[in-house]
Amino acid sequence: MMKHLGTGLLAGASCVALTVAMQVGSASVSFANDKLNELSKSNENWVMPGKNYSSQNYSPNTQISTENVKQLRAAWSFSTGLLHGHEGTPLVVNNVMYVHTSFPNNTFALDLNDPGHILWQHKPKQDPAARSVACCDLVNRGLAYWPGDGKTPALIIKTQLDAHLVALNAETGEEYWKVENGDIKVGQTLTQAPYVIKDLALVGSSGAELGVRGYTTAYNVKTGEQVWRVYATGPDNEVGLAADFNSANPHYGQKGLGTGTWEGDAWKIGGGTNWGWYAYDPETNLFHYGSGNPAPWNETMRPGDNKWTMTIWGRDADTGQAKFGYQKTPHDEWDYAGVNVMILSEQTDKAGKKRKLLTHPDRNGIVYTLDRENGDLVSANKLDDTVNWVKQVDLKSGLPVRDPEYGTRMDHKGKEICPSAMGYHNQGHDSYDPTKELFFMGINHICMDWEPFMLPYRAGQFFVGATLWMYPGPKGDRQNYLGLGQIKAYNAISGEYKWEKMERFSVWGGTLSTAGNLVFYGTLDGFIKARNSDTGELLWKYKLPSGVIGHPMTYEHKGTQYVAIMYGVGGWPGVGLVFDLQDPTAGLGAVGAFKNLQNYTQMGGGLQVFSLDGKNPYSEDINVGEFDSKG
Amino acid sequence: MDGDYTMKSKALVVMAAVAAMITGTAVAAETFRNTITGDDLKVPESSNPEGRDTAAVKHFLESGVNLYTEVKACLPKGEEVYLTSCSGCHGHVGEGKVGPGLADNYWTYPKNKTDKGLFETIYGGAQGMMGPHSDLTLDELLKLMAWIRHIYSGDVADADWLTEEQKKTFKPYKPEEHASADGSAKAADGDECKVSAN
Repeated sequence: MMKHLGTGLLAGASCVALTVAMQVGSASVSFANDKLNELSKSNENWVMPGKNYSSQNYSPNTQISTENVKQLRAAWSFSTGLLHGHEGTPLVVNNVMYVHTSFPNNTFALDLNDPGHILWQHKPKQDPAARSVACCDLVNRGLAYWPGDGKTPALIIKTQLDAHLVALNAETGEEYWKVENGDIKVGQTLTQAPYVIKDLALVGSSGAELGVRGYTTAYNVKTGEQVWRVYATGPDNEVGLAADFNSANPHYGQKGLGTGTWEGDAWKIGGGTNWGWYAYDPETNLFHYGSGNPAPWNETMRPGDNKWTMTIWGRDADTGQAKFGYQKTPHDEWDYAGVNVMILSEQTDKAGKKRKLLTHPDRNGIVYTLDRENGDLVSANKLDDTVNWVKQVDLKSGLPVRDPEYGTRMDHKGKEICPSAMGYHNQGHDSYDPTKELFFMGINHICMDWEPFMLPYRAGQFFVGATLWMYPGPKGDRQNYLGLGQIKAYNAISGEYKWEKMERFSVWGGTLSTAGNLVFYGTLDGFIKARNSDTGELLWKYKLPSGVIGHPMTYEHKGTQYVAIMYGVGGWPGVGLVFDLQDPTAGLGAVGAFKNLQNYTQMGGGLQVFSLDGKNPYSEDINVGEFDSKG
Repeated sequence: MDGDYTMKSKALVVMAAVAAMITGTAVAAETFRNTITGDDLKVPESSNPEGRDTAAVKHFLESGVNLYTEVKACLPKGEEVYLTSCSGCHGHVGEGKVGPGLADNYWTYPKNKTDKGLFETIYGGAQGMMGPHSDLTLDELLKLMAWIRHIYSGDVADADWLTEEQKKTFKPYKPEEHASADGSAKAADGDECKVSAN
């Protein structure tokens, strides 16, 4: 549209944030944005963790299909040199793969013409004290790419556990700018993949387990200057509510609730951090994400709805102002942090109306589908029929109808609560096949007992206040602590599951679907599997060196389709294995649930790439990567 | 082993005392090493400049032995540091949360059974989420270690950090019998946290 108009203006931009914000809103910036959008359409690229702004994790590539997936073989691999949890997936842009790692958050650029050659590497020296304030292992979820505009080079944006956001020159790996997004002394860390919209780099924060008040911040991608910051709790101007906030659904709540639904100043240490995934619609200019759990976990210590934790947001990308906010779990009692993936789709609803939708499999065991233009609830169904804290979600009021038997409170040990605090779905980045109108979801099948205890807030200390026991859900094998996961194909309009399969452990990392009628995913015990996306039939699997907590991606290079996945067990489900914990309630309850994981996998991070018959740059030309004395 | 250990450490104390007299500063006779990498932690040069000169710190740097262990008047400060810096991960009384329990007789790093080893793990950090805690003063760290030893609930026979004398009187910690209502250790009135190297 107005592609090139504003570039000149930007050159003379002042340092005033407001000016930057206005220009960001105007045409100049859509240049880079359109470029990123264009790049995302190519089968050769994977420019953001969810492939495109709709976060569909879907590739139209048909080369690898149900017909030939059995011939999928290892093509090449790369060790990150690090232990601990590797979440997320690498990016591929213009024949270069960008690989992230767990702490200390190294970044590698690999040449896809000769993947044995590391083009550049960025190894930050971080304050190691950050390790002590990470929740649940030392994971990282990935990178963002900004394509450059001729004046500013293309950038790789990354997060460091010590709460810094860093931009690297995508060509050289040199630091272009670096900003401090939070303070580890109060427990603020970063594990999220940043997100690029136009000329903004968006990032949330982690730390709700330490009483951190959540916020989302946009930085000028060219300079690292802060453009806007919006909070999950507190006064309306700090939460960033637009004048017409929730005008389509006033019953979701409107003014004054970021303080009014808390006792006293509790909102200041009330959590609501967001460390999950973003999605963006260039047409509505709204981006979507979920704010996390209130702090502490012990509900008795924070009476009220605790808004706007646990909320699905629709916010204006230029200003951060919220058009709608829907709180899924008012006054959370189970740590059902609402940060999970938001997948955008265009589908026809039951009334025959074509709508712009957002689908979100939540920790609380409900998969929500909203109209992403105004926040209307379209459907809200259980991820599994064993969800028991809620009987149903009333689509009119938006409220969950709770079963008090599974509530939690002081001086009471809640039993057999499903899902567990890990949620029936956690941070996994799932996929959506638009041709089949199916969502492919990796599920945890874990329930829990929960006993709260009182504790004081201490800055930089865990602020949880609950003891948890976790174990397989009713469909699993409770004797042997197996049967902790599922994989499902879901239709958000009918609410039906087309197919579902049990897994030995969680499908923690999410899924990839392709036009080859396939869905790929990794398992905690270290398999990558391919199923027929119509039927769920298991067609292919491969044992990786370590368990998977990230999601697969696919790219085409020189005419060959590759599937790539990161391995490296860890994260919350892996804390027992990673930290040598013994007590079943340790690791916030994870140790008990996953006590058998150590018999199936051990730590070790890396990347494994597959292709049909293992075709790769070296099999095509055996001289690639050889020492050449002529230089 | 215990008898040998005492003799050796006494000899070290003497040597270190001579060294200290010559230079007039606290010199570490012991080399403290990172629990994972084995790198020299450069104690005391790398430590918080405050709290380096107490009798207990000097003794510890020379001998690797913590004089605050089971000195009742020194425990409240140790508990305060514990609650601020450790309890979030390791639990209110060392029962374990995100981090491993500290009160039982299972040690991820067996050297933590010695004062020197426990100090190295806390000061320099270890694997995973166990970051370094070198921001605390050396004196605070020793009091903290005394508190961690105090909340030990395992078999006294396995408590290598206690002297034979201390083993005779040490009672495994029971949170429910803990003196004050708010769960904090209290020194008797007039008690001062004082130790002497002799």
